[in-house]
Amino acid sequence: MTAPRHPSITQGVRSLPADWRDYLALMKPRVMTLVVFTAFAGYVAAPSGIHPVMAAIAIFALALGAGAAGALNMAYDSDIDATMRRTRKRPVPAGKVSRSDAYGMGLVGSGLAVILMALSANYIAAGLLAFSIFFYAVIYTMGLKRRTPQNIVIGGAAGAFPPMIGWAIATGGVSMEAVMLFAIIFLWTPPHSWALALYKSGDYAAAGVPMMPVAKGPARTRLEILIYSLVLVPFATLPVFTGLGGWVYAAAAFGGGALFLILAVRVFRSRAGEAGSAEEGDLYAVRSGDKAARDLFAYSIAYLALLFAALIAEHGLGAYMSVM
Amino acid sequence: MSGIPTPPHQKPTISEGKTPGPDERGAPRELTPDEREAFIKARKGRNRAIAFGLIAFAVLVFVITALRLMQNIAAGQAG
Repeated sequence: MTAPRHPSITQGVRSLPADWRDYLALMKPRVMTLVVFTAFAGYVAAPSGIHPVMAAIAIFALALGAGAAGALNMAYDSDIDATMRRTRKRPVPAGKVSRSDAYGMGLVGSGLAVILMALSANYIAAGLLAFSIFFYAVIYTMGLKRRTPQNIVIGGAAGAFPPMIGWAIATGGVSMEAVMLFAIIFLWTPPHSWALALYKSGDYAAAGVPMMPVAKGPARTRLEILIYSLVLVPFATLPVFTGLGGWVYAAAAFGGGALFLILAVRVFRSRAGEAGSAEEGDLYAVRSGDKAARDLFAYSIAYLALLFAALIAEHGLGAYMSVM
Repeated sequence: MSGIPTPPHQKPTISEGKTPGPDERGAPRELTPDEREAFIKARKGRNRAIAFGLIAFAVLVFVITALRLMQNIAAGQAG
């Protein structure tokens, strides 16, 4: 009797192994893109003394860390992801990647990312990266997300770290400018996430996630969106007055901010969130009453990109002209 | 938690529809030749991706080491 060539196969399996696309999806590539973009903005805005190749490796390490944190999030949240139209096709709930594989990938990826960051940049950047992964995977995903409507307010800090890490890569430390960039993303997260939650609240309710529209209702959510927007927009202009942002940034912060406020007021005056979720899972699919929330959600991404692109243009491409 | 379906990866996905195994709760069973071939192909792809990742990590560490050496030598000569 000959020995089986693949004993593990002849013993049987539950599902086929995933291919590389499933593992890439596990790392939330869209989030990774935003992380790399904002981190790069923080890096170029800082007075740099690091070799560009080292900086590129450090930014790659940051992307890897963000992806690993995404994998840990998807592993832990696979039960609720399976109940939501928007997330049920993710690799773990879809059965393409096992939960343990996702955890393994997240933990190994996190370790390699922090090591690479420490070697290529410095221990401050590596420490911040390790803390941001811990904050996202443990504090937000395991602790806050299913317990409090303030989940994304506090958890938003995890997504705000990248420009600060970019700054730390360049300088080996953290300054007030880095904290300012952190605060801009921190304040941006609630109106951005709640605008989405307003027209996907049915999904969150079905999954038992106490997002603001589910726990406090759409009216309170629309008010909170407006309040956070009123704080965010003036705050985002601060870099102009500290000299971090020049004319290009000023145009983005004042012009883009004005439009952000208009859309936030529109959401406040609308009945967004009253009709429940859109039937289909597409991120931008809405009922007619929710259009204001969908518009704010879509524009909020463009607004943040605009602010950080302005910093990149000014400090990376030499377009900086001081306002003050 | 009630009301939340079992994640599909905990179900016997391979036997869905076509060739149900002896135990629908997900107990192991023999694969068909086609499934076997697909399994081997997918596993090979995953192994290659892991190997590529490890090699890339080693290369990055090598590049970092070389750059640090060059910078330190240059700093030593300047000082």
